[in-house]
Amino acid sequence: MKKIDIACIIDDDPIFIFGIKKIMELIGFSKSFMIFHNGKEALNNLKAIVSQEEKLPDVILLDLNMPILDGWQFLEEFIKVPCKKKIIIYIVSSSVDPEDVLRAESYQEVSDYIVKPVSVQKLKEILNDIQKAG
Amino acid sequence: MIQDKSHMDQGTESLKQNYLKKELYTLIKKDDLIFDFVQEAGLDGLWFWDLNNPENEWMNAKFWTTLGYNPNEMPHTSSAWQDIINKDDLKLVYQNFAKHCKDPSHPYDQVVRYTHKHGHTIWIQCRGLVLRDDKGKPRRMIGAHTDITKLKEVELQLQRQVNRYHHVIEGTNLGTWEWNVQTGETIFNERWAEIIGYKLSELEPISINTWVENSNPDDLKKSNQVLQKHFEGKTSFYEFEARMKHKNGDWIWVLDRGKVVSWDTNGNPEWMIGSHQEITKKKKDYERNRLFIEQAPSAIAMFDNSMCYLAASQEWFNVFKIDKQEIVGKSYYEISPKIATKWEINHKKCLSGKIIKNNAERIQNDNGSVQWLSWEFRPWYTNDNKVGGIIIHTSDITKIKREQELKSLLEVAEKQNKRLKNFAHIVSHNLKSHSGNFEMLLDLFAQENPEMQDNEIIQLFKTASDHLSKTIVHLNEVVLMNTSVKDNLTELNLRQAANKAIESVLAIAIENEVIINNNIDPKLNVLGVSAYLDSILLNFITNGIKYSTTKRNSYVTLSADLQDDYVVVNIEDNGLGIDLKRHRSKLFGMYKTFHNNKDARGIGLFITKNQVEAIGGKIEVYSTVDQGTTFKIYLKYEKN
Repeated sequence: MKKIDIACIIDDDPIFIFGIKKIMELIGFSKSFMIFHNGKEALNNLKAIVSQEEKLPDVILLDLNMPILDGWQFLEEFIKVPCKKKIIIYIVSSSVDPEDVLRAESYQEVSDYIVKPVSVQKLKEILNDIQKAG
Repeated sequence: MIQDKSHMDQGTESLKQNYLKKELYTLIKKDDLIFDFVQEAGLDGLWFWDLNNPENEWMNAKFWTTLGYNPNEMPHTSSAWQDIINKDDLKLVYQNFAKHCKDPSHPYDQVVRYTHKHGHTIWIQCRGLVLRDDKGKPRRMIGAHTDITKLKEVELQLQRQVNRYHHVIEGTNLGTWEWNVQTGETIFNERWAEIIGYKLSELEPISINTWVENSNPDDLKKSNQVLQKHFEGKTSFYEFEARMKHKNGDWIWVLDRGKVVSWDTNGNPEWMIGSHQEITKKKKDYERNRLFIEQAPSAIAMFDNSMCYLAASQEWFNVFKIDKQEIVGKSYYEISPKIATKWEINHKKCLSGKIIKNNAERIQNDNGSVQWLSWEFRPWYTNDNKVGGIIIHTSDITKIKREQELKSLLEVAEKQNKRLKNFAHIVSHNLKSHSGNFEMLLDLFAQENPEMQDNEIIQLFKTASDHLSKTIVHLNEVVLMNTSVKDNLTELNLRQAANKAIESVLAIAIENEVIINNNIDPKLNVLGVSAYLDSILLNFITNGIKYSTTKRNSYVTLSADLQDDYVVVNIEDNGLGIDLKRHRSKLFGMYKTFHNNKDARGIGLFITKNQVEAIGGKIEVYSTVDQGTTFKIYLKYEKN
């Protein structure tokens, strides 16, 4: 069983962040969190971490609908960044548009597409999957 | 003049009756002056001939002056005039002279030509009388000349005119007729007969019946009416186009024209003169035009120059709402008085050779309805390049006008629809985020505060949150419904799709004790979108289970059959049924439920109907309350 070190949440919705963080803490999802409020902020910071060879997150929960740089734009940029570490990326969105689902599937870097809301139960399953895969 | 005996006898008789004549005759015998006057003033020449010595002939002065010669220079010999008389006429003179000598009753009277001294011809009527001795032998001859040159010239001129008239008739190929209205006596020229393929001799005896027997009976009736008008003085001449039977059996057309030229003392027409002109080709051309116009798919009518119909298309009747009737020959003003009067100025302009158009004119009809017309007036020309009338071409563009309005409406609707879709997208997405948060927070709250699980407010909160989420899910389904999938349908096996749906509802079927039968032929394929077909079947089957009744053993049975281009899927249950009288119109509306079933959510049928229609199908429903419901789903059939 692999213990998740850092979980990264990229979302512009403070309630969602509050909630998901709470649930994560509740089920002991990870040791620490890294939180960004839009794609741009996340990309800049993650790039800096890569270049300074600091500790990258193990899991990224990525929202789609965000200001400045949305989830897709972040993904486009982020997969170009050379990085040795395998980061598990989940898209977590309210959108049920099949187009979004299909688009998510086209990225091999994206493990799954999770439709909000994320319940305690759902997060436990995700945690399970990650640990199994690890 | 003294011509023959009988005349002289009459003369002697009259002498007895008139004293002045008697006196004149006596005077002539006594006084030479009287005779000189008579022969100079009354005649254009006098001669007296010695037949015993034929070279001796006395001619008076007038004889020579008439011919341009000086009498004093001319000898009193017969050879003198024989040199200047026309040689052919001289032969005639000798012939008549010989006959008259032999038989006194044969008159010596002929017209001869002399050459005037200046070269021109002088026409002389020459009359003579042989005087005989006791034995009846010719001894002397007396003769008189009358200059008829002027008369002759008039006659020649007249002859030339007659010839010219003949040439005109021949040149224009006119048949002529002369008809005595009262006796029926009739004269035709050769061309008259030739028009109908005969020689004049073949038609003998000629009478007015020759015309009657060779004409079309219908036309004859009309022709008589036209004729009557002329007889009554209502028309200045008679004119009619009539059909005649040609010798070869064909009907040919003639333009028959004529005029009464003499009237009897009672004022009744007596002689009438007229002509026949063959116009078969013109008529056939016209007939072809007429047929062409009648068959034309647009509204066309052809008028003569007094705005009487020559032809009209069927569409013309439709556009101007004219009752089916024979309108050829009738006035435009009589048939459509309102619009004709409205367009009167245009008719006149057009008849003077102008082309007039209007792309859209608004016409208010008598019944208040509005019609939009586009029209064109065009003159048409006869062979001699005169305006023969006009052709009106119109289109009823009311529909097009309305379509234009509709189109702009549609554009507005399309834009609004687009905005609405956008709006729905945003609303559903945003609402979804918020309701998601609610759900998540409630979930979290429950986890953190297990003691609050039974709090009623928290419970209701949770229900409200669930309903909100579900509503948003439905809203999304509706928003995402894509009605343009019709073009890319794929082939789907119906039975397999049904099985898949049955599998997924198996749990609730068992729970509700409903048996599901799938009787669909495994070979049946339909055209559709896989996700839609699954959803459609799932919805109907779920529906059947949900509205089953506990009163009997429930079932939902699926079957399918072919109907034309459709596969009809029958989903039959024996459940609660729907009161269709009350609910049919609302059955497939959004958020309509007809039962107090706790799961009824009313969105299913709405979505399903839209999905069925999106893949080109339709739904029928048959139901009896408390007996069951059958939904018939028509889906596009894929043969191969």
